[in-house]
Amino acid sequence: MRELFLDARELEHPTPLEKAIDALKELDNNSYFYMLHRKEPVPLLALASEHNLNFTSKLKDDGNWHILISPNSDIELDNFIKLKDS
Amino acid sequence: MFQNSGLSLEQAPPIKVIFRFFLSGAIFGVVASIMLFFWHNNLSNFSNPTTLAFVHTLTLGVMASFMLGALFQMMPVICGVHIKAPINASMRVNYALFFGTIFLVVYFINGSLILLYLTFLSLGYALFSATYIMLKELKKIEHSNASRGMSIALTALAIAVVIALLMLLLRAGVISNLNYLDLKNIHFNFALFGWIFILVVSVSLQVIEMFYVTPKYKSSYAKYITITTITTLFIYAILTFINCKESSIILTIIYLATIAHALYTLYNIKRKKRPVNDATIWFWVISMSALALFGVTMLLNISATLSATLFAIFALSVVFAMVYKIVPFLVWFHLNAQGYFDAPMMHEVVSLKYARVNMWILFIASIFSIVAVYFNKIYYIATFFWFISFFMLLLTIYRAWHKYLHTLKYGKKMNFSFN
Repeated sequence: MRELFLDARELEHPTPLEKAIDALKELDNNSYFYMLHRKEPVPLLALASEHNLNFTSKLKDDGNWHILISPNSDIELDNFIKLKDS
Repeated sequence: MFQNSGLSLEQAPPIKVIFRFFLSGAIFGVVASIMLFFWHNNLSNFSNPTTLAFVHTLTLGVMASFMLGALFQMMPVICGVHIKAPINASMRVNYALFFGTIFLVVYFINGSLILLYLTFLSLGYALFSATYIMLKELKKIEHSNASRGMSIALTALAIAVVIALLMLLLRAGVISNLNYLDLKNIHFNFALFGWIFILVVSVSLQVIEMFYVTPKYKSSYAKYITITTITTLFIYAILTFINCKESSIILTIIYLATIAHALYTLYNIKRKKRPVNDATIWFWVISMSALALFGVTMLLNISATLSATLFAIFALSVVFAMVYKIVPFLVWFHLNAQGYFDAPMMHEVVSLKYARVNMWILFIASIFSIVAVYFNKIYYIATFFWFISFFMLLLTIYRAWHKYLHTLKYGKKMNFSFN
């Protein structure tokens, strides 16, 4: 699976969302988008839900959110969550 | 899964609802500037009908319109709250608030009893239903410091409204066994500090860090600043009701809280991790500077008019900061969410340069308003700059709305074509 990665932890609003939507346009069935963020990006997840995308968001112990989105509904995105942040 | 229990775009109020609140607020802002131009000689007496009309145009027409509109927009995003029937509920609130404000302002000027009853019904409905809709949903969530603060602010608004309605009944002669002056003092302290100050604190706890990548507020501070403020207000209300003559001394705690929050926010903004090329951060700087000065002028008892001016600058600057953040974001995001990927980018909805020009005009208006407290004729210049500020804001909202509709009509709609 191809990963499109975005570390948005130090990007100010609304850059993470703009970059994330650009990344979503690049996705296909063999790829997923992986974003690290300091907050849960609720609007992005709402958009993913609206477009029936497969997505997950998890808050890790270090306080960072791991967000994964893919058009492929057959893959278990939780399996791709990295243990470390980078 | 969503940590915040599942927001859907369908559950967030549609963009037109928010824009109606914001357009109403900007129109009242233009009207308030015109009032200031004609009435500035009469505004130093806080019991004067023209002062009451002007103050309620600002607090209800401008601030409540923008704040309730922003809350309808932000609560699903920040708190994960689902507002049921968002269109019907928020539209009814918007219309009732708009006409209720007009009824109240005209009532203050001409004293018509019919307008008083119309005000009672329309503003009572608007503000109670808004607080009920939001508080009911906020009760269901696991609170952050920001959402807890918003709940407290909405509760304070409801209390301020109850007292305001009692004051209207006293004015109408329906009841007579309450002290009008006591009610008035409690009403404006709950409205200014319980509603406006606590709401701005709660919003800043969430958005300063999120928008500008600043360090977080300390969690103990974030938790207790709002609780301390509301507790102080309740003690003040009790002391007032038992006729304690020195009840206002307790408000010193709130004046200290305003200074603390202003300085802490300015300190956090100074420590932001990246340079931010955005006028909205400067609106926050103007707002927090005015808030710090407000606290100082209250503590030193310098001038009530000066304090009121500083508080207005504090609240209005935050309104401008939020509108310049929310409006371009809403247009861009809602168009993208509907698949209009050729939608204008946020800086194309509202240019950064335009927002900066508006920020400078508001700054100049603020400075002239402060000077005008001591040199009355300067009010003519101050009102000119306030008028331009609000007119620019009105144009911003109108143009953004127009761009949104234009893209809906002529834009190229796509789906995410993954397969």
